[in-house]
Amino acid sequence: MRRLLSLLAMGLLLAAAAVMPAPASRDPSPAEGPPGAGGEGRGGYFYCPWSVRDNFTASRYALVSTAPASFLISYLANGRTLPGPVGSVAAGGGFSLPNTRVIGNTPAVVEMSAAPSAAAVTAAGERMSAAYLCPSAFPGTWHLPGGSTNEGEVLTLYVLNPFTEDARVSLRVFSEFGAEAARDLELMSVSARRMRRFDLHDLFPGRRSLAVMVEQTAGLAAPVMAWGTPEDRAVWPGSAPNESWEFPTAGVDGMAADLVLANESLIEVTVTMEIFDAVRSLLESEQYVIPGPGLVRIPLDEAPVRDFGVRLTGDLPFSAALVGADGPAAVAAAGASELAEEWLVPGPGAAPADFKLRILNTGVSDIRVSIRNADLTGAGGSGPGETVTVPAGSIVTADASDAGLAGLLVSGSASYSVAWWARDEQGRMMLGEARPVER
Amino acid sequence: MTSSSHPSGRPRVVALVVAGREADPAGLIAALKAQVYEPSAVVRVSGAAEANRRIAEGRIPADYYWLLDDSVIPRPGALAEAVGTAERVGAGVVGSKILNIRRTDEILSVGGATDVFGYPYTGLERGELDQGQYDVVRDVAYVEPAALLIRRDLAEGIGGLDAKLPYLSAGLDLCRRSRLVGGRVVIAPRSEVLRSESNRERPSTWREQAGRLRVMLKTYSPVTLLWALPALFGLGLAMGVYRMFKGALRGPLDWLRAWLWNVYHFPSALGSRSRAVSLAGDNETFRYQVKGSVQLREMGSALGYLLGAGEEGDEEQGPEDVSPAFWRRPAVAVALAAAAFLLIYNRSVFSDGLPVTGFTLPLAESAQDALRAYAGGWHQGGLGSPEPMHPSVGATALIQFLTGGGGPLAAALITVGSAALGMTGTMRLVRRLGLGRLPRFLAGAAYAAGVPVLALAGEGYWPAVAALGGLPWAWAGIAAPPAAHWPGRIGRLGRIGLASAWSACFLPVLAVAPAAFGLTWAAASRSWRPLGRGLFGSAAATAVLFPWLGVRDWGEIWGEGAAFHLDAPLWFAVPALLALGGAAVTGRGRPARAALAGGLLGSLGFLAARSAELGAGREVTAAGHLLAALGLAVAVAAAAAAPGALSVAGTWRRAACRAGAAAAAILALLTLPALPGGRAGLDEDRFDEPAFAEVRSDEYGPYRMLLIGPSRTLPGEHRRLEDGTAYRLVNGEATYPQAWLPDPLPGDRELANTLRYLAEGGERRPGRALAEYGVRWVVFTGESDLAAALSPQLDMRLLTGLSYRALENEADAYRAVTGRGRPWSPAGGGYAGEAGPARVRLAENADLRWGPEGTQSGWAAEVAATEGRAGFGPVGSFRTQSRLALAAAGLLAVSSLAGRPRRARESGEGGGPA
Repeated sequence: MRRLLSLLAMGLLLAAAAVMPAPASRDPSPAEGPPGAGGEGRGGYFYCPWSVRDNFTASRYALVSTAPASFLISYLANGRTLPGPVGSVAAGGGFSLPNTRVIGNTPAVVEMSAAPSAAAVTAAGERMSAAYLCPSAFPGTWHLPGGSTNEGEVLTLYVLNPFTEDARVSLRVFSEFGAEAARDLELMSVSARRMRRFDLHDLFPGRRSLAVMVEQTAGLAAPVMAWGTPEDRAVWPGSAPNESWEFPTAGVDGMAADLVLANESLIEVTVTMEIFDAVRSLLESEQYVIPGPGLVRIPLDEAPVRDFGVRLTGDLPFSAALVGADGPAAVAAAGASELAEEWLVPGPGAAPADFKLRILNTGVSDIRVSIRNADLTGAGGSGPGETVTVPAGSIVTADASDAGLAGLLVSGSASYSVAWWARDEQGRMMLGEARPVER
Repeated sequence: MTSSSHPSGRPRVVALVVAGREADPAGLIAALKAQVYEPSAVVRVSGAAEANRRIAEGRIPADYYWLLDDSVIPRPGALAEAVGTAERVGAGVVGSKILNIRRTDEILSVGGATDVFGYPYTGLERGELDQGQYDVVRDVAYVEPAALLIRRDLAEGIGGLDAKLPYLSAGLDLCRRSRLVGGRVVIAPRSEVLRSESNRERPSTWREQAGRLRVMLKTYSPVTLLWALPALFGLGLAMGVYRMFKGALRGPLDWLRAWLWNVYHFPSALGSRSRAVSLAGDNETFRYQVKGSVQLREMGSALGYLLGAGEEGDEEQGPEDVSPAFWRRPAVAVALAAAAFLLIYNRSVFSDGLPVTGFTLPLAESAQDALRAYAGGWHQGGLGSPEPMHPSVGATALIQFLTGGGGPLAAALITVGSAALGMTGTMRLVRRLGLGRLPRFLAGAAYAAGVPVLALAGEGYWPAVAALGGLPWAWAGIAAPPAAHWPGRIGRLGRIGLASAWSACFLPVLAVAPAAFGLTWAAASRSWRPLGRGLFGSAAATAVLFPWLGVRDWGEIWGEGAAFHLDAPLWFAVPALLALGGAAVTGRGRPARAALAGGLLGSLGFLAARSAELGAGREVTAAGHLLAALGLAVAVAAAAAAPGALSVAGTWRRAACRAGAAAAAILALLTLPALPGGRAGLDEDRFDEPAFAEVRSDEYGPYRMLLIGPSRTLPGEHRRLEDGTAYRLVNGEATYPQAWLPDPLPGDRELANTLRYLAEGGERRPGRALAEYGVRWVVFTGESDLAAALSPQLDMRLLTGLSYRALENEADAYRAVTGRGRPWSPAGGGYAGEAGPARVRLAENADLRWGPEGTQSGWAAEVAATEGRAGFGPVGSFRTQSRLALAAAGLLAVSSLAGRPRRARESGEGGGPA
């Protein structure tokens, strides 16, 4: 009897144990994509691959923030981070400070503790006048259309890896001849905290138009393109392809510039170009086809007016840049891929030149826009033109020459696009971009 | 034949009575007067030196000298038989049979052989009675000098006794030198003398060791010495260590003293050697020696006893079989097999140390610091806490302290010792249950390296590996027959308590196991005694769990930690059920009873080991594994023994029993896959690489490391974010005291918030965010979304050359830093740095017991820098509880010695035949 009871108890225990399921693993399965890899960093991180300082040129960093923020500039040299200037700006303030590093090109990371904020690099001197907006977000593939490698021209791609891990990039290059053979430019390593330079004028000489796509296959890297002549240099950042682009400064003072549109897909893209002048003269629109893949260069020197802005609308995403030469001036700018009611415009005033702000309203209603100077205190005060009205389908140019400013804050009653330019006494020009404030 | 100068024609014998220190010679004098062969003179000498002088002087006419210890009582015919034998066989030295003066039929010595190192081998069993079995005149290697007859010319020629030698060695020396000059050494068994029983440990005293070495130096040829001395050197050391583990703590010291003594007396040994005349070579000596080492045989015999290969009742008698044939005994074969199994099973632990995986972590760098932390100090897990640490931390630190502070040595000792204890304890338990030798060995292997234990070891849960040693010993004690006397009962309870406490220290839930077994065995044996013993074992085990136990409620004990789950694949389940069923259903007698008890407890353990779904946590499921392992081991033994227990039974019953036995053999064979690894079943090293932290630490280290990855890949316990991401902090190298994490305090919660923030992605300076917690490294032990979220970034450098993804924080991540940015270094459980007026922020959870002048700074602690040192004031009640627990363990250890077979004290100072 005792044996029977024992066996019964044993059987019950074993049966109970047998039906017990194993505990489910609480470890999460890794997600497909990293949550924060490509996006914009918290606060404001701006990656400036190009900032040259030599006997002829002085570069400056221009910072603008809508909120009180501390800033830190870190220089990257030989794989190391060298602490640079630190400080703070008040809400709606800005700060402009020179690149104090040794002679040469020193990439840097500008950190702002608050957002929205923006940073730009300006360079001015006897041999160049250039400005670009330092990128802060990382698309999967950077597009850098524009530039040429004609005789006497230099076209250089700077790819900066500001992070602590090595990155790997692949370059694809298109010219008027179609896709260029660039196998040597695939899966190239960009070491941590280093910049890699590609002299495209040596690699692809004699090209009238070039477009470069920088694909980040591992890690992240930020590219800018520098193009110019011995007299001047133009620098513009990479951008992500988009279906719509606006170039407020496509036509300034009769500058002879071209639009270079690039398409990396296999399907051709049809692009409609509309030109907007200051008097709403409703210039005719034109259509262009970008071969897939390939590029198209649109000369703007035959435009019927001297000052105008351009809107490009495609049936598929494409990239675009404005490049041109006007006398000694070499100019280039990335377009605005989105519209906003509020814009941060770092750079104007940082360089010793008169600057002008161009506002393009491609909408169907007039927009009232106020312009404020971004100075150290944030007190700012009225900027060029204070408050202006931008009629529907037109541009407005605000003149100013308030040297010493770090930038501008522009806000309006509806969405529009903004850009700026400056011309020095020698006639060299710099075109600059603005950063939209997302609401 | 000696030419007699005695008027009667009989040889004249002078009795040289060597005076002892305290002996009363009256009895001896009376016995001498009663001799049928009366000595011509009786001369009392004070020691060997005076005896030698009297022999050399030769003033008293004599044909023989009868050397007598004044503590002996020769029987009336002793001298007559000795002289007669000497005359009859022409012997130079004649020894007497020595009987116990208290039990005159008990033989103490009849001379004997030695091994090559001079260690005596008598061939006598303890308490062997004199039934005339040795009554034949024999040539022997030595006789005891308590009563020996030596021919006068021989005594004069070899110079008598060596006054520097102790009792046994003096006899050996005299005999060997006599033989080398052609004298015959015999025992005259009819010459009987009575003497009190001498110390059985006498041959092992340092004086006797030294004496034997001196005899070798004096008598062996250089060629023999060339190999014998190095062999003796190693053997002596090994025996010293062995004796130390037997309880003679001076073992290695005795060995050292013996050699140093001979170094000091080497000139005199050399002098004696040069004066000696040798007519025979070493071969003449070898003729009377046994092969091999007697001491090695003794050790082997003791190992067999220890491994439970002996018989029930050996415990009282002790292991004494050192006969040349003992190697061929089944018990020795089983013992050797068990020892070989253990050696192979743990071989990597010996050679490479323990792997670092799971809870298998290096012990604390400082045993003292760990003990202080355990006794109410600062728990270093996570960002710290005053919470009491796991009992195993205290136990390991104590063992580490007692073994000299070496962590690897202590960890290896615990691991190997526990495996050995587990195996031998199971063999002992099975013996207690009345089952045979082969079942014992199968059960021992099935427990120590069976599927349940290997499953836990494979998870890296070292505490369970360490805990397995005590459980079977506790059960064996509970199942033991009642002791005859109170000291024996107290000792048995002490041993049950000690074994229970050992297991419970490492796996606290096992504190209930003795009571569970007691209840089961009480039912099986129909006696309440096992239940009482089991309850005592559980109570004793519970006592040593404080202060850890004092701050836990049942819910925590039940559900704490990540649960294990004992899988039962078919290749394991089928043989287990067959073995269990074979013995429990169809068995008879003891095997059936054992199978039912083992099966019940094993089934209970199996259920506990799979009860994660019921909310059971790590401790309960791990304890279930061990319970299942031991229950299964008992069932294996029962199944193996079941066919033999059948008398007349039907064919089907015998067939079922045989099937069960075959299944038991299969279960035992399943232990073999664990042997190639040789790591006691533990997984391969997983955390060796993060040891880079030690290398990369500067003067302010060790810094903290944040480990993130799948929970199975993390050392010790871990915490989780809401999405399940597992992580934990370690200070520098992950050590055992850090394996357990205390309940989270504000700092830990802030760290979790920071990790949640980082997990959202986009933070380009995670190093700055983590520096607040003193985190200098982030190591990803496997795939994790956090790894992607922390990439790319600007202030944590990727360390190359590691199989893990490891990031080094470039921001200042000091664990302690003054308000002026001057870092302090961790020191002895606290911090130390430059003294000054500033305050020091410690990246430890705020607690006002940090001092001096401890305050709270956010979640962190802050102290004054005035003394240049910061420390945690212990929690008084926890410290007191720790001391009481230690006292309880000590009491158990002391009481466990009660009732053991009394071992005579070592005399240590032999002092020759005097």
